Amino acid sequence: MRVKLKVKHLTWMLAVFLIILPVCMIFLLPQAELWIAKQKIENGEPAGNEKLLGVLDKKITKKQRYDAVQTYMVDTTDGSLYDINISPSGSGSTSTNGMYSKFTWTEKLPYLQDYIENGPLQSEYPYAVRNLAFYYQQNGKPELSEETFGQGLKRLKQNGDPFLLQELQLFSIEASVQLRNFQGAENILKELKKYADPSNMDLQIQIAKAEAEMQIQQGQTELAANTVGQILTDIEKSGGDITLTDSVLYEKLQALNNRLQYALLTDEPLKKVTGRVIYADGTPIAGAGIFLRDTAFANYSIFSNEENHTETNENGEFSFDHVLPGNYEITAGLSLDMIDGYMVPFEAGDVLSLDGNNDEVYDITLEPVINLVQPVNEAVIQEDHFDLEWGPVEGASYYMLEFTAEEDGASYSVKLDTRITSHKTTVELEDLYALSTNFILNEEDTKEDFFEPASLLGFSNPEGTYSWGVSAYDNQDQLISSSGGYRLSEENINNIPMIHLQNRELTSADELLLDGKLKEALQEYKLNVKKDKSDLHSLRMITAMIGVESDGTWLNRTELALPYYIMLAEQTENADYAWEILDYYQYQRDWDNYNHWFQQYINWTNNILDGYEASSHASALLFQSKKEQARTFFQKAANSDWNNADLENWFVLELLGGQSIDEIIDLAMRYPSQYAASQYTDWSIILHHMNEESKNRDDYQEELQHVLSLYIAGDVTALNTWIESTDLEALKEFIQQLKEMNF
Amino acid sequence: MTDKTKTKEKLDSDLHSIHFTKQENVLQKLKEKEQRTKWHRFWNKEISIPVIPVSTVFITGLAIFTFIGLNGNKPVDDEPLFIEFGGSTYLQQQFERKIENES
Repeated sequence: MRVKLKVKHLTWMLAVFLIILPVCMIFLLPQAELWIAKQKIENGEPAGNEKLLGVLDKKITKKQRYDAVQTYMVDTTDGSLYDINISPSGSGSTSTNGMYSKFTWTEKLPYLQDYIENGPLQSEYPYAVRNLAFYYQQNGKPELSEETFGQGLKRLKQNGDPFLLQELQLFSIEASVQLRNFQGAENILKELKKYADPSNMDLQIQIAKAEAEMQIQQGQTELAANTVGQILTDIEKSGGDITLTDSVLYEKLQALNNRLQYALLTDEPLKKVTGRVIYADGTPIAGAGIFLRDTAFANYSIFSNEENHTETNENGEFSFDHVLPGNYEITAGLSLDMIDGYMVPFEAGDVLSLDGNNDEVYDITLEPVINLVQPVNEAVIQEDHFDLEWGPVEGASYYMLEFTAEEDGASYSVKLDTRITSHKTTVELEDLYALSTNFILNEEDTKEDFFEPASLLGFSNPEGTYSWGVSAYDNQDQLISSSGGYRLSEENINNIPMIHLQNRELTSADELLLDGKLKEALQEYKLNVKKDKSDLHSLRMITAMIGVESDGTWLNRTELALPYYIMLAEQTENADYAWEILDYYQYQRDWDNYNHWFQQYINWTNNILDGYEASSHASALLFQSKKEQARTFFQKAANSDWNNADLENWFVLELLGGQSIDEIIDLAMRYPSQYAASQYTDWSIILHHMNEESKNRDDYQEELQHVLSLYIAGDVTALNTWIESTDLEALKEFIQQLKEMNF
Repeated sequence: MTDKTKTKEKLDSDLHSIHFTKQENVLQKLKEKEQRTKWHRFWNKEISIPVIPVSTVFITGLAIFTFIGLNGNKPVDDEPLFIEFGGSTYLQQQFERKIENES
């Protein structure tokens, strides 16, 4: 097919094209560039941010510009202000939503300013205002912070959605309280209350919280407790008539109530928390986010508005000046650039306890990650042992190894108990095989999507992929650094600790297991043990799998596994098996067997007990009425790491021993329970209520002694009868909470 | 002497004082006309364009231009940006490259 054209027509066409081209360059090219920039950002390419900044000032529509600002620059939760949030309980979570990193303040400042002034009043708007105001507040410009809120409120009042206005009013009250502009906060609160729908319980809770926070910061703790108490009573009275769409709000209110009750027991309720964030070489880290979070919510990701949130100044310093006593966990918000090549030496259970007596200092030092030397990069281990080596750490008193079975979707990490004093060691594969990674509690477990039969094999799967890591500790048992950290750039990636353990071959039972034929596999393992009682692999596999035959309860599974644990313990003298056994006997209150296995446990662990183990044993001694011995172990637990210990039975012991409730309140305040949260009330609060209650009853002491004796005897039937018949509400709460935590 | 010759002589004597000096101009004009005709011919020349080869070249060019313009951008995938392995956080792509290189 051909078309005929005159030369002159062709020339005209070319001319028109050449005239249109520059117009296209001006108007269409930015569109293409915008598209490319978005693609790059969403692909997580570091260059994406710069590309987007390059196109935002070109000829794109206003809508496109504000859309991009909303999507990539406005942070709707406090946590998403930072690339990564690291806390002791949740190692580290990235919040870049697929972006390589967030925009810096220098980059996004002019766009946010413009957005607040002229941008669309959509759901992101209140957050944009809050982001910018927070920035000004952190950078010593409180007047600009207030001005920003003023501007946002004005625009929303003129032509915004009332819902967005209320949201911004709440943010504004919180910010004013932080800036200690109580009059300003009061004015907005009045306005908010005037128009707030009384049937919107979520909003009412938020208003009550904001009001209580204002009262707390003004030192009116009692008034704040009344404000919170009032709305909690309203909710309880409604008997479910009120619908709460956000259950976390209610939990937060309860937690605040607990903290207020606790604060009322102390003379000076507000404490100061200060600290510094630096690198190991002393260089300060400026602009790091710091959150002080109630431990009740440590497992939740950062909320959209955290009460205690600040950033470090140019010296890396931060401070919270007026914090209610209670248990807190620090979370650090960092950028990828700050953390690359480093780790934060947080350890699970690092809790900051504000006990009402002292201000606290909490410094955070980012340590360089430990580099691993061997075995690395898919090394295959075929011997029955292998050598490990890593970079030495200055000041390390000892190192501890951790091994991980890396499965698709889930990984199982186990720490080896051995303390290694050099930066090299040898590990026997048999010791790894003994580590339990996963077990089946009941058949339902095996039907879950994430269930992977291979995970039951732990470290004895020659087809598995494993990794290892090392942590360095000082002579005070404090973590210095570890190999696990952030390795984002080429120079920090180092060796990857991926290994394969191919010293054994799969047995036919293992093959059945990997095929998902769990029951057949279990039968074959049992048959193997019948033939040969020293078949440790089969014994271990039975303990991991016998849950498929259980009724689904922990007790039943442990009962079924018990004979195999005993066989394993006797043959290997491994303390982990002894703990499984003694735990079962403690639950059954079979004290002869418990004491026997506890002795074995002590023998095999070289007498080292952590806070949890010491307190657990102390409780077992108390339940055997060995009160003096129990007291020694409770004290031991409290002196080691009481954050991890269950000390409520210590209070029981001392109350039984005749100490006054007042004295026990002091003890409970010195060691606040880490569980004191939304589910559990702190013991000091319950004890305080008991103290009040005791003033009206002459026979209180006798009643207390009676019911505590029933408790330590484990007489559940008698306890239940007592709970049903008593009118001593505070004592009843004490006993119910004890029962819930211990039986 | 013929009439013709006579006439010729007469004419010569009448015109002997008149000289034609614009030969150059005439020649120039003739040339210009010829060029205009040439140009006109070219301007109105019909060319026949084969649709398939030309459009193929055009589309290929456009495709290459777009590809270069997009900088070889991959389409958005669902692959996570970060990967955790052995307690460390890596960039997924770098991690995979490193494993590939080492093995």
